[in-house]
Amino acid sequence: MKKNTWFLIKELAITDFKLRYNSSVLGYLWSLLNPLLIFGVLYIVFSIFMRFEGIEHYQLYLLLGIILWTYFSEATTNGMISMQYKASLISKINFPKWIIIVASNITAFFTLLLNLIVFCVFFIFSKAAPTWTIWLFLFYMIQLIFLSFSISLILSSFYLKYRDLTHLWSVILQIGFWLTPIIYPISIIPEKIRQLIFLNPMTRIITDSRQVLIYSQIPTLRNNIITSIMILILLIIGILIFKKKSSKFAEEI
Amino acid sequence: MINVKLPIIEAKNISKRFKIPHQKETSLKGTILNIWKKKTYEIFYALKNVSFSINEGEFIGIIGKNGSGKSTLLKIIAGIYQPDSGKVTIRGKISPFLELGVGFNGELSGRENIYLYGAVLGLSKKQINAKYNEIVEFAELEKFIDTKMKNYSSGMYVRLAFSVAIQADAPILLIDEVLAVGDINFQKKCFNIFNEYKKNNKTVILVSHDLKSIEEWCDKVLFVKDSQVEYINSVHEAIEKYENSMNMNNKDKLNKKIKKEIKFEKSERFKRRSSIGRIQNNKAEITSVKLLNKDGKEIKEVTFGERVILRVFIEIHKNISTLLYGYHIRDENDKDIIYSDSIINNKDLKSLKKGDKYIIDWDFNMNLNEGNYHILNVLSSPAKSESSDFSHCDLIPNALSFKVNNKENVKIYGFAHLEDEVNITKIKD
Repeated sequence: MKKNTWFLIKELAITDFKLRYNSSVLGYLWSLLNPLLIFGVLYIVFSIFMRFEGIEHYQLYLLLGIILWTYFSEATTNGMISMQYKASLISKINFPKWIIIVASNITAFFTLLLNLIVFCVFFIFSKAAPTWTIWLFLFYMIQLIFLSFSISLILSSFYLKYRDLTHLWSVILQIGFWLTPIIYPISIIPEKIRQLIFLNPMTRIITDSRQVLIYSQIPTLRNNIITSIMILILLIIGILIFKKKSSKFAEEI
Repeated sequence: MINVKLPIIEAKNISKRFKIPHQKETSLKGTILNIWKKKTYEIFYALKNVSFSINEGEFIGIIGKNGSGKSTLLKIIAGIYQPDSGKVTIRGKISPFLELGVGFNGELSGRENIYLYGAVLGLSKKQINAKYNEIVEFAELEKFIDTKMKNYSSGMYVRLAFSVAIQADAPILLIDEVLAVGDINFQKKCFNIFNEYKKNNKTVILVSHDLKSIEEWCDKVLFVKDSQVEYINSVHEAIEKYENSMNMNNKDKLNKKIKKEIKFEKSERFKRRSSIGRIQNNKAEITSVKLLNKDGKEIKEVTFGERVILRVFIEIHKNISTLLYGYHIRDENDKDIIYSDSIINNKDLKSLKKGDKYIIDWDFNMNLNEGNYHILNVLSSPAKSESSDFSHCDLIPNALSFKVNNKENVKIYGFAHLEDEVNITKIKD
C-alpha cells in the first residue's frame, strides 16, 4: 500500500462528511437525530402500545439495534453511490477505486461513533450493569464493518450500469429492517424458521452485540465462526467483482 | 555492461473500442424487460492496434482532429481507461492534468480542494503543507483561497489545478488543453515551468490544438488520425500532415499550405550530389530538387498514376530579365521520356533581382511505365533579346533519380500514358 493511501482516505472521508451537512442548519446533529427520532417513535409504539414480553432493558435493546442497522444501511447505500459522487475524480485521475468505498464507509462510521456515545449516555442512566464482556463488542464492530464493506463493493460494482439499484436496495433495506430482530425479540419467531433468520448476518451481529453489551452473556463460538465465514466469503466475492468491474468505472460514469 | 534505457512510456498494439448501443439501458427494470430482446450495438474503435514509445525527457505533442482518439489515448496513458487489447507500460509516476477543473469540488474552498486533489495525486499531508504557499502563490489565489470554488472563474480553476498538478513532482506530466484558458501572464508562467521540466529531463505530453505552442515546445509528435497513432520525429512534418489532413479534399488549399509552410532549401549535399556534368554560369542556381507525394513527403518510389510534385528551388545571383526553366525525365539509357518547360506553360520568370529565391512546383500524375528514371533540370536565359539562342544558367544532368512501380492490374505498353478521356457513342440503326 502506498504511503499516502491513508491520507487520501481521510481527505475523502472528511470531504464527504463536510459536504453532507454543508447546507443544513443543524449540520452534524442530523446524523444523530435521524436514528434517535426513529428510536423515539418505535420506543413509544412498542413499549406503550404493543409490548413485547420478557425483554429486559428494552430501550437499550431497541436503540442498539437501530444504531447498528443504521450504520449498515448508511454504509451500504453511501458505498453504492459513492462512485457517482466522485465521478469528476474518477474520470480524470487514476487511483485505486476501493479507497472511495472505504472513505464512504468511514463517513458512516463517524455517525456510528456519535450514536454509540448517545447509547453510552442511555446505558449509564439505565439499570444495566456492564461487565468485561463489553470488550467482545469490538469483534462485532469488526464484523459489521467488513460486512458493510463487502456489500458496498458488490453494489457499487453494478450501480453505475444499473442506476435504479438504489431503489431496489432501499426496498431490500426496508424489508431487512423488519426481518432482522431489531424491535422484536428473536423468540417471537417460530422455532422452525428461526435458523433462516440467522442466515442474515446482521441478525447474528445485532443479537450477539446485545448479549455482550447489555446482558453480559458470552455468545456461542460456533455460531460466530459461521457468521465470520459468511462475511469472509462475501468479502472475497466483493473484492473479485469489484476488481473486475472497477477498471471500467471511468467509462461508465 | 551496456546501460540500456528503456522507454518511459511504451504502448504495444493497444486497441480501445466502445460499444455504442442502439438504445441505452441504464436501469435494471429496462434490462429485465428487454432480457429476451437481442441487444444491438455498434462497435466503435477509438484506437486500433496502436504502438509507440516515448523516451524519458521527451516533450511530446499530441495533435489530431476532434474525435480522432486523442483523449482516449491520453486517458489510456493516464491509466484511467484500460485498453481492450495490447499493453501500456509506464515506468514512472504520472501527474495527469486532463480537461478543465480536474477533480475539484465546487462546494469546498480552494484550500480544502488543494489538500483533496493533492492527496489524489499521491502527495502526503507533509508534502502539501510544505508546498501549500507555493501552490497558492503560483495560482495567484491568495485572496480567494477560502472562497468556495463554485464561485471561481474558469481561469482560476485551471490555475489552481495546474499549480497543484506540477507540485506532484511526477516524472511524467500529462497536459490536456490548458493553455487555451489562462491569460498571457499565466501562460508565461506555464512556459517557465515547461522550461524547468525540460532542464530536469522530465517527460511532458501536451495535447493542444494550438499548433504554435506545439511547434514551440515539442520535440516529437504523436499524430492521431482515424484511430491510428503515428510517431513523428519532426514537429514540422507532423504539423504539415495535420493541416493537410484537415484540408484533404481541397487541393488548392493543400498546395497553398505546403508553399506557405515550406522553407527555402539550399544544401551542400545537393551540390555535391548534382555536380557530375553540371554546367553553371553563376547567374542563377538550382539549390535543391525534390520529388514529393501529395502529402508533401519526399519520395523515391512512385506508383503509376500517383500525383506527385517536382519541386525546384532556385536562387538568383545576378539581375536577369527573363529566366526559362525546364526538366527532362530520362530513363536508364539517358533517353528523354518526358519534357516540359516554362515556355510550354507560358510561365517564364521575368525581371529577376539578385538574391531572389523561387520555389517552382511541377504538379503532375506520374503516368510512366515502370522502371528507373532520373531528372535533368535546366535554367536558361536568352543570349540576346529577341533571340532564340539560349545560354544555360544551370544545367544538372542528374538532379534526382526515382523509381516507378506498376499499379496493380495496370500494364502499359510504350513509355508513358497520356491522360486521355474516353467518350463512347453508340450508334443505333
